[in-house]
Amino acid sequence: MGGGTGGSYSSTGSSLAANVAAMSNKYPLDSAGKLGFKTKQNVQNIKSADPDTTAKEVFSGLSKGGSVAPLANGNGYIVSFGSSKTDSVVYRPNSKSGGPAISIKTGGRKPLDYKIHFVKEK
Amino acid sequence: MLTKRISKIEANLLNSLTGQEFRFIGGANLAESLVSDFIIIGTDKAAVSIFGDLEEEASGAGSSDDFSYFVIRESAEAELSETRKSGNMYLIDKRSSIRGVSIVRDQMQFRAHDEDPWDLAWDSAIIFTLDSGSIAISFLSLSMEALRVDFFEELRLEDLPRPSNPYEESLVSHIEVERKVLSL
Repeated sequence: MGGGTGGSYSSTGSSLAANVAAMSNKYPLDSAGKLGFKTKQNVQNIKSADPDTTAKEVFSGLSKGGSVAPLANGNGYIVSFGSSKTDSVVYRPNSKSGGPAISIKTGGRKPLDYKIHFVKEK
Repeated sequence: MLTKRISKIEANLLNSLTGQEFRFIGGANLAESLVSDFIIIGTDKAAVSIFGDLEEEASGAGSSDDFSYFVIRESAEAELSETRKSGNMYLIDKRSSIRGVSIVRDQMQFRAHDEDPWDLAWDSAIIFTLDSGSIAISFLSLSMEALRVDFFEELRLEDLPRPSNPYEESLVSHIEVERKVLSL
């Protein structure tokens, strides 16, 4: 396990809920308000020709305005948002279940906790 | 039964802080929200690093159940110096003696008609009881490395933030959680 060193950056003026809403123009939300489409109960999928690039793009959109830092376990990046104690995003470029994955947790009136797998379009 | 509990060595390390004077909560990347996967608790004599880590348990069809857990060890000098350099040190005004350390253990049971069932004993929070107030370090979610820090003047179990989980309650799916506080 590493020491969670360096590399943090941040900007202001956004929130995770706003970022999800902005991303939904390109990646529609399902009926529960989650990005992607449901596969099994705790996992959403987003299909594309290039899952790695798509995952990077989605992460970039979701992390706007947040503080991004490398995960101490070396498996990706974690984002916190302003003074929020309920919103966070974790991006794992190589999840053990295969390919990139993003975990999203939002608070507020309709809290959500889900993971998106990025899979290759057949 | 799956277990994501802190080890005996980790428990002993946390317990060794009892009687010492709390000085700060920090972390090189610990932002003002006090949410991060890496948190240091510093006293007048020692510093302990608390990490949120994650185990992905493959559950077939390219999917997984993700379970977070604590990793706890003495802070490395590099972690401390980077934390000092970053200036991300908080609760420095709460200086008082640590009276004891407890953990919150969540007994979880998941059942769904089309998924593998599981039972989990999960240590989801660590509580440092000070002479004046308590500091809780809790997971945001069962399925994420992120930890949050909260300070309570007076702490009751029901005041502790409950970590979320990605499992939906429905007619065919049910998750049950029973919380208890265990003194180390």
